[in-house]
Amino acid sequence: MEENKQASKYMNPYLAGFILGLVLLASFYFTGRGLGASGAVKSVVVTTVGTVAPEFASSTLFFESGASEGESPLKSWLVFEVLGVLLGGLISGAFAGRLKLKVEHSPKISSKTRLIAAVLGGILFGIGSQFGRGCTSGAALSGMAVLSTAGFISMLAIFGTAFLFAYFMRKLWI
Amino acid sequence: MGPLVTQDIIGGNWNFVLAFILGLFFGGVLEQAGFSSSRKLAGVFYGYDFVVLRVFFTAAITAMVGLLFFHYFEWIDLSLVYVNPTFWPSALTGGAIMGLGFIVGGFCPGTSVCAASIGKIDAMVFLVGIFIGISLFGFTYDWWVDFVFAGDLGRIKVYDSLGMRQGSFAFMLIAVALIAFYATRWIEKRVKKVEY
Amino acid sequence: MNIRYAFVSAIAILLGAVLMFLPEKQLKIEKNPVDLLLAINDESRWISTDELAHSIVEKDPYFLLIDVRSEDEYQTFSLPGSLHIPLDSIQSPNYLPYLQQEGLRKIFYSNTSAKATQAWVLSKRRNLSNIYVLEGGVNRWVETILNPVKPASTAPQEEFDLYSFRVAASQYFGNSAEETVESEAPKKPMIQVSRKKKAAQGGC
Repeated sequence: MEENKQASKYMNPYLAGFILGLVLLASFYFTGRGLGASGAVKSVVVTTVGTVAPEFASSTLFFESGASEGESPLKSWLVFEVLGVLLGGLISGAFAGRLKLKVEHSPKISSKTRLIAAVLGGILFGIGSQFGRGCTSGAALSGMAVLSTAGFISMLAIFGTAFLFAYFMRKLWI
Repeated sequence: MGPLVTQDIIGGNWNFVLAFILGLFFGGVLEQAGFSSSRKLAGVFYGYDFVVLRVFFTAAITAMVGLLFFHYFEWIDLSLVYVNPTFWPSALTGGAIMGLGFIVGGFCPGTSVCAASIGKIDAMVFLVGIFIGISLFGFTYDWWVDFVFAGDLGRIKVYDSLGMRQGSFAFMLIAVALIAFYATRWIEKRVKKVEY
Repeated sequence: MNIRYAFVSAIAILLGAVLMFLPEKQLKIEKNPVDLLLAINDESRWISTDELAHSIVEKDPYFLLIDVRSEDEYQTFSLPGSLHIPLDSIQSPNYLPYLQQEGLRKIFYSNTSAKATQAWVLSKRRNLSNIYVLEGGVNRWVETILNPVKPASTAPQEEFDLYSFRVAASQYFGNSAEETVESEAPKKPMIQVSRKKKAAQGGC
């Protein structure tokens, strides 16, 4: 019963998926591109490196745009979109009464373990998103919506590998 | 006829306003669906909660069907819509690394932003991790650059890769999704519930 | 609960079925296959090395040479004033402005005619017009223009005229492949073409 009660606090997943699909469709209709997230972090990285070490940045292809004069890479579509995600999540969380500072983890592991795992996972995701030209939302979700082969490859690779390693990581979650 | 921004029907800085508004809805929906909880997300890999599969698949199919009909009625010019190019070796490798990151970290970038916004400390730490990861990649870019640009197949569509008609592929994808939805309901009922 | 889901599933299947039976709609930018096939059989795409040499010598401003070979080959030897677009990026939107210039004759060339013809077909498929292929490619350019062979003494007068033109052209182009590389002709004509429609930037 407890489980049901908690689950019912969230929106029906199919309804949420439908609305998310409409948001994605609107994104394509208005701006010609899908949604994303990791690109915004890349903008922040490029800006940081461009500010801290401009000479190094201008010598490396990857950071070049951060060092060049003119518009800051922070003024990018994805940065604004991710700021929207932050506020959108905050508003939704506030309405549902879910605003709370906490580390969510399985009872079998400590908060510290969870945080270390989270950093490691983040690092892997950061590296992977650069290889895959986008993360789950940018490459896989938006890519699938426009039926790009890259989108399907990314999606299958992400979920396939996660399933493959799920058994070894089970302590982290269940 | 869309997309509006790329044809300068909506100009310049409105693009950023639109990005923000779309982001608001994106974040709101993710949070409402429960994507702000890493243990709920990880459930898909252990069979106790398939919310990721449901939301993800439903969203992709809704947008895909919408785009195809928009294209058919000429409301949108699909040639102006961004299609991510396929570099298959790096897409596969990147996907595999991200998959490992997903099962270890429990988030993906989009959901971690959303979870961080409602105060999940693990999500904030995850975001720091992404920052470190992208920096690492950037500093070692010279090592990877050849690999990242290898195997260029261009902006190829999946139905062309498979040699199918567009419509047939769309129908097949919908059928697969529906089968997956019913199958996962069946699995979910038989797997021990996990409290989170 | 189950009835609701069954209902939604039915709608999804119905939409999918409609999509399946809708006729294929080509993207507007693509030529339909029948026209493309007819165009491929049309011989008017060829430009001979002599015609090209005339155009270059007479400083005809209305053509653009496009080298579709690899970077190495382009660096080693290229025709004067040619733009380098490797075959595998000929479809890239970055180069579209060059290929879209209506007023220019775009002439593809490679070592033989083969790769250039591929580039031509790919471009034709995208409905680009005023595009040509250099017949015989760089090989024939070297054979006929840079190192012309004197016709037999019994040959008709036209061949001698052609030969004397080729000798003159050969001197114009510097007689040997090595020198041609250093010729003063601008390597990459940078022509800015404004285009209103641009595909959206992407990336996650």
